[in-house]
Amino acid sequence: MNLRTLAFRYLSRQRLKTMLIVISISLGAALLSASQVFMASIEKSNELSIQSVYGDVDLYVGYQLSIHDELRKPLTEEDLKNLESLTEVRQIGTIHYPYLGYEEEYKMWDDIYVGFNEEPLAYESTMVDIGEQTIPAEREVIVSRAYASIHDVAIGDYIDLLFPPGEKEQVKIVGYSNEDREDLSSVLLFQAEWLQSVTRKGPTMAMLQLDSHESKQSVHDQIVQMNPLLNVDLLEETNDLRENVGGLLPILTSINIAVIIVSGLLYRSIMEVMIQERNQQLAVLRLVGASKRNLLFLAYNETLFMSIVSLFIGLVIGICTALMILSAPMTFADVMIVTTEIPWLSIGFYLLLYVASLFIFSVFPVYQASNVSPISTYQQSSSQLTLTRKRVRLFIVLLVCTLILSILSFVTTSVWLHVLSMFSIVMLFFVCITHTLRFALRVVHSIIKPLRHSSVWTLAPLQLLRHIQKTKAIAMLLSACIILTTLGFTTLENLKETSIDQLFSLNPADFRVTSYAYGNYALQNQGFSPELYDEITLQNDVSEPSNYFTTPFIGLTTNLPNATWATEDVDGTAQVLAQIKGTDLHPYLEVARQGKTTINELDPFDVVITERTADALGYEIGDQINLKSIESDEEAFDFSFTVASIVSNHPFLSNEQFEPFDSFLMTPKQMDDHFAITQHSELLLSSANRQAEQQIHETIESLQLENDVHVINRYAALEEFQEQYNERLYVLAFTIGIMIVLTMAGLFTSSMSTFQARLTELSILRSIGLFHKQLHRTLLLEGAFLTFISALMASVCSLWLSMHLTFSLQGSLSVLPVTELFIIIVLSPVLGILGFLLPTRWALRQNILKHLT
Amino acid sequence: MVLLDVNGVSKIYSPRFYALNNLSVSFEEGSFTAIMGSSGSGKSTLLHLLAGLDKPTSGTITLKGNEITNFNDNQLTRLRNEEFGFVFQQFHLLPVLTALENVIIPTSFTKHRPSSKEITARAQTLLERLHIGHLAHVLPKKLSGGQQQRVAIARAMINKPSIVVADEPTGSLDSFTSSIVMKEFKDLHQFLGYTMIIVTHDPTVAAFADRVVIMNDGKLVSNLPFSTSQSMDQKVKTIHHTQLQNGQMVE
Repeated sequence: MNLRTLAFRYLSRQRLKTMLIVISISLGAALLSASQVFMASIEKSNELSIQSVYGDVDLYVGYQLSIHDELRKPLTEEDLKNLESLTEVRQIGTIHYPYLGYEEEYKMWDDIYVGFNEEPLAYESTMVDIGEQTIPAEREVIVSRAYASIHDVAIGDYIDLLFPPGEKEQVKIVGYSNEDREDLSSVLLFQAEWLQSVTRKGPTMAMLQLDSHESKQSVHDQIVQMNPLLNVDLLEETNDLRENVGGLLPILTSINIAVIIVSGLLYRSIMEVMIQERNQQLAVLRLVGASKRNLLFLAYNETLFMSIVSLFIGLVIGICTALMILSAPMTFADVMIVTTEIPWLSIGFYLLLYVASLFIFSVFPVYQASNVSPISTYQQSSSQLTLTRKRVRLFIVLLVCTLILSILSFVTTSVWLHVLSMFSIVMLFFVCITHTLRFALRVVHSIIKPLRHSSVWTLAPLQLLRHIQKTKAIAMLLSACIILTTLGFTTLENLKETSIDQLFSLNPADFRVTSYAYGNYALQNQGFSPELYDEITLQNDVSEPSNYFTTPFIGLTTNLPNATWATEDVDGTAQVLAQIKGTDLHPYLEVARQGKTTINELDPFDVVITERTADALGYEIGDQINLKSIESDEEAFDFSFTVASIVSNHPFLSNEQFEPFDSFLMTPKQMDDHFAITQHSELLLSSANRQAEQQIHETIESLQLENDVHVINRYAALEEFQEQYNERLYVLAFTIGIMIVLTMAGLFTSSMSTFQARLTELSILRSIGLFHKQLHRTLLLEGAFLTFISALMASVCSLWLSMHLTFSLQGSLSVLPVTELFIIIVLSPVLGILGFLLPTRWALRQNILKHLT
Repeated sequence: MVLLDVNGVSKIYSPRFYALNNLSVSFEEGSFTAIMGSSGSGKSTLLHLLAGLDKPTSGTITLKGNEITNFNDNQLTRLRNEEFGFVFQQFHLLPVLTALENVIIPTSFTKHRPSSKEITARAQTLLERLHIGHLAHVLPKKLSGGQQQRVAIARAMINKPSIVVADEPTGSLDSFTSSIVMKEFKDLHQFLGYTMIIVTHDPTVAAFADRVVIMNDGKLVSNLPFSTSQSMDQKVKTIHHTQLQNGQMVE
């Protein structure tokens, strides 16, 4: 008998226990396998969909890829050789498109002549859709049915075609292209070499199929470096389509990681319970000569056996379930699933990671197993973890260190310190969980004792205390789930808040009307008529605050008091690019911080700045601001203004193009007087009516400004964002669901195992007069107390962690999931009761007498 | 020849509580010694120290001339595996193994392991000598208390130890089964010649030994060697008498 056999005996002769453990572990393996099959099938279906539209081609390369390309030069033999020699290029094919860009010159507007050689990649081109037919031979052509119908020709007919600048040639129609492809109705397909011989020389472009579409950019860069005159079509559209599915990958990876962590913890808790139950048996083994290493080997062998069986079962269940679900017609992430794919490599990778996590998470219980003292054989009950002075010291040291770190990170706002604090909190929580749990159970017991005299209520916490090690295992699992959920939620909420902040900072009003050239082209932008603002504000739906901004005058400030933000330095003068624009200053002057407070007080050369501008550039009331035109060197275009008022910062006045300061402001009249600018470039409109966009568009159309302006609807952007957020929220909810299932599996397995070991004790309780119903309630209460206390402890820890996470992400405390945690705490006893329900019923159905004797 | 020698051993848990107080006792090779004493007299502590399960606060214990009190964990593990056989009150059989497998298990940890065939044959012989050979492939839960204890005895002897240590081996058995188990124990001792040390409360069990050591308050208060001519009844009476003399309650 060797230790491997003993490990196998433990599993094979405790079938119920082994079965429950295997089910629990295989659940994780099934989820991992299924998620990989889902992802691969979606990716494959997406790829097929992309290929059906764009062909299995990654790049098009040529001097001339469209009519806009000026260099009308065919690819040379050397070009093709160079392209083929690139390591990431798998296949290359050529296209001859002789009249591209010569349509006008040769009057070739009606028909498109294209030539392909008989090579695999030819059939991947979007211009070749000829079914089972092959590429035509010399003097042959494939036409569309539409062409045949218009010209009253059919397969087998000979037709005369003009091949400018050459002569007419007679070619034979050998086939039709796909009649469903209307876009091919004017395409005439020839053999490339023959077409070159009668038209322009050399292929127009090359089609490149790469080893992986991920290397597109790298191949592009190599081509451009090789020959800068070559144009490369990266088929960006396909990238967008791939990215759509690619976005799922990080989400699925997060789920997989959560599954691996929770399953690892689940296995750890199961192992801990098992080791506790087997404490005396392990001690006997130590007594009869087993070394610590022997016991380590024994425990790891069990893990290995269970992992292998569970992985196999999980793999089969996961793949079968995924294939079954995918066999039904369905669309996911806008991709119609048309095929299934089993990615053995990534499944293997994840399952390997899974086994590794099981081994890593079982290190502690396995170490515990190997550390069992042989003297435990003589002890009637398994040793309880006592609160030794050493442990108290460790707890205090950890607590003090964590508190110091935590306070320091809040004071210094260092991201690294926040991360370190989070790590320390997690360490503190899991290292001290037994004692915290024991303390919490004692508190609960002391609260309940004077309130409820019923043995049902008082027994439950005491029983949990007695089996503190087993209780701890479940508490750890549940706590991990709650902590992971909370952190996931906090991250999501933080991202939501940041995204909404960005959205609101970009769009400070509900609707924003800007000239089309807004942005980088603003310098050349002439703006649009001020009439638009007047017309729009007449509408009932538009309300305060709304405002307009004239086209800005952009110049360099040449007398900066604070040169921190200076970007230009000519002849030792600190300069910064700034803009001045006109607006209705009323609302801002009313709450001016310093200086003049009404428009009437403003002198012709007065300018208004925001507090942020004053802080960043150092201007104060009465200071001169010298602005030099960037378009002209003449002194006549230099201006000097006086800071007349410093107003509070306002979202309408912020300008991210010129961060960290805002535009200088003046009245529209001043803008007209100084710069002859009357046009508007931006309108910011508030409206409680989400449908106001329609009215705004109508006004734009009525003024015939639809080609000059565009409208940004914050509501629509917000809705779009909310949709994306909800998608992520559903994924988080799904992950939580998985974690709840795994926790339930843990609760069920551990309670079943614990009750099995406690049958004698339960029988004694029944024999001394505890009613069946009372015992039933006691056991269920144990579950409820256990999950409630765990949830309570985990919630405190989660809240602490969330605070650090929020601060490290520079979020606000309003995102802390206090309500969610409260709901978790309130609902947690239900989870305990549900998890303990079946094992309790099973335990109470056992024969009392059998277990008493 | 002295096999195991305890010299001036003390085990102090607190300044007020001496589990063993400067105790000296030796065990001859091939002897059968019973250690008796009331609860808290220190007999279990002595047993733990003898088997290297615990370390004395002071004093030395030597086995075959080697001081074992300074052994490290690995040395002690090897010692327990090769030199000691253990029998417990609660049998402590592994529930997932059959009787035969339970007997064989200590051989899994020996350094120079004989062949599986040889071990199985040896285990089967031991079970047969204990009259449970027919139960070799039965799981412990299907065996009676007496049968389980016999399996445990066979397990203790499988590695041919120098010393078999039994802690209340009949504590979980009825008196009839106890006497049968003890007779078989004694037979095995005579047949195999191992040194045996048993801890017991029961004078009728102790009477199977060649010598009875009585302990009180961590000290050895009486050493009763028996001659082969003494009957079981005489031995029991002597033990009772000595216990009464030492102020110990007779059970």
